[in-house]
Amino acid sequence: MAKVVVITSGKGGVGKTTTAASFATGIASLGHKTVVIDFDVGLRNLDLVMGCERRVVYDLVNVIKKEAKLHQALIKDKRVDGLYVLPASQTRDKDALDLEGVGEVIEELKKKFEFIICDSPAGIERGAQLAMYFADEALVVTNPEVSSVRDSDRVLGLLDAKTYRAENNLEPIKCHLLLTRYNVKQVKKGEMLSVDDVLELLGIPFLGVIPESKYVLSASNAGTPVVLDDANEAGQGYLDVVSRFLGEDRPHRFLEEKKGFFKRLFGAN
Amino acid sequence: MSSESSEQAFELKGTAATITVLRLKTVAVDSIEADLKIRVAQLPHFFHSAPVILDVEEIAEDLDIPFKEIVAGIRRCKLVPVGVRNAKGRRLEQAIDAGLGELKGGGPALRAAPKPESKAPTPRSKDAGMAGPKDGEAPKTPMDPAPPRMSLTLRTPVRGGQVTYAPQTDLVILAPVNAGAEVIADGNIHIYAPLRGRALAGAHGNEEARIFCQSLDAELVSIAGTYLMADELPEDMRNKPVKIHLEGGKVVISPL
Ligand SMILES: Nc1ncnc2c1ncn2[C@@H]1O[C@H](COP(=O)(O)OP(=O)(O)OP(=O)(O)O)[C@@H](O)[C@H]1O
Ligand SMILES: [Mg+2]
Repeated sequence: MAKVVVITSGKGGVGKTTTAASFATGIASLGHKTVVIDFDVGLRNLDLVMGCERRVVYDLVNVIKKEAKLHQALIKDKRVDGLYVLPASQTRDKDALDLEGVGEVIEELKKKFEFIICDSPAGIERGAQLAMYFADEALVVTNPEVSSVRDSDRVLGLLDAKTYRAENNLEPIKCHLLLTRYNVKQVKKGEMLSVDDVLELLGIPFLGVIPESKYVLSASNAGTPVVLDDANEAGQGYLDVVSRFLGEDRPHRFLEEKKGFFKRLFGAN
Repeated sequence: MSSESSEQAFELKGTAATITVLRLKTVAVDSIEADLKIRVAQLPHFFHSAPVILDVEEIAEDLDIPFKEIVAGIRRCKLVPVGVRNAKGRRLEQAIDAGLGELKGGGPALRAAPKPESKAPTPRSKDAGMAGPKDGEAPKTPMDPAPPRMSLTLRTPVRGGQVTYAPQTDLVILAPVNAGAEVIADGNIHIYAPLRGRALAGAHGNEEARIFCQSLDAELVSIAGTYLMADELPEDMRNKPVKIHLEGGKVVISPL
């Protein structure tokens, strides 16, 4: 059975697109046929992070408007087998999407893919609601700060009420908390909320943290999802998250400050 | 057994019930009804069978108000118009003719209907107290109008932007009420978890209503319309288990 997973947050700029790219790439690299859809119509950027922006011919809106066939719009990833991108339109406005059209596209994708990853736009308005409507599971991307947690809370309310599963009284969408841009030092100093603080406020299962890392930006600029670089912590964090999502039990590696050489020698903190 | 002659047929009592006011901005029945339908759909349990008063202060003197049609339209929305305010002379006569009573002066304590944010979702019926089959408990039907009324029980968090209303009964919540959420009951509100949002007990004016919560971190607490904002909460009660009631017209918070 194909699974539809929405990457959502409410607040903008918290790392949804970064997560969608790395999550989809990670799942596909473990042998699952995966497509990642950009729902951020008008603000195309998933294709940039995925490094396929120059191969975009048709997009989600073209498919919904029946101006192109689905297979014409799907872009095959060059690095990972079984990974496809369905880009958003840069030229249309966000009202170009409608529920029925999105439903048809997702139904068709379900026949071909194991995982359908939806990169939601920010906010809690129509675009975000369309992206989450058909989801089976949700990664709620949150930064460790109050405003982001509040927005995630609102999004969780919507996931619980304004989705296909909710409206048809099916089992609720399974929600997972993903804390991104986590900076252990700032958490220690009390400048950022800790994992425990956020879990206490949101009360949903915890999938993992992605440490704050400067490699994320350079990877995005290079069009390489950061998960493909397992030499840096953000990439490792995403690999852990993907494995956990697929049912593997992995320890949380990035909740504690890494001890430097001298700290280890002298046991200082 | 008929009542004895010494007993009265009834007792006449004045009350200060709180009633929703519909302040008319137009006399166009269609648009009144259409707008009202939307509002009612947002909070069906708050409005269902609720009495309302029409306030016609803002309607220009020279306009004819089709009271009978408006009353019928409001009734189609499942509300019960009972009175009129700020109607004089012929206008008042027409209102009385349409079955509305005159409310003089300040009138009763007027209840402002809680305002859900534009598209605030009300929790699914499943969350609203229907114990899922998984729980192995008998399903409750809190919306059933037949007495006795069961309290409404919520088992999942009430999240920012959500509004839940327990009409004519208590509201029992077994999960947190988060910042930006609003829980309303005509009776008491029991929260066996932190209260971080707004809680309004005694929404129809029951001054005996109370709020209980495991940890007080509220944005607002209200009993029968008298409320305290977040920064008015006593510092020594913050994040503590408390009970909240009305005493001498003041909201009093004390440790549980
Ligand atoms: N773990 C991280 N460490 C450092 N920077 C990060 C991390 N995750 C994301 N960023 C940076 O944050 C910015 C926003 O990320 P991204 O575009 O993924 O967010 P978004 O939630 O999709 O934004 P929008 O709401 O605009 O769609 C980017 O510049 C990205 O490089
Ligand atoms: Mg994005």
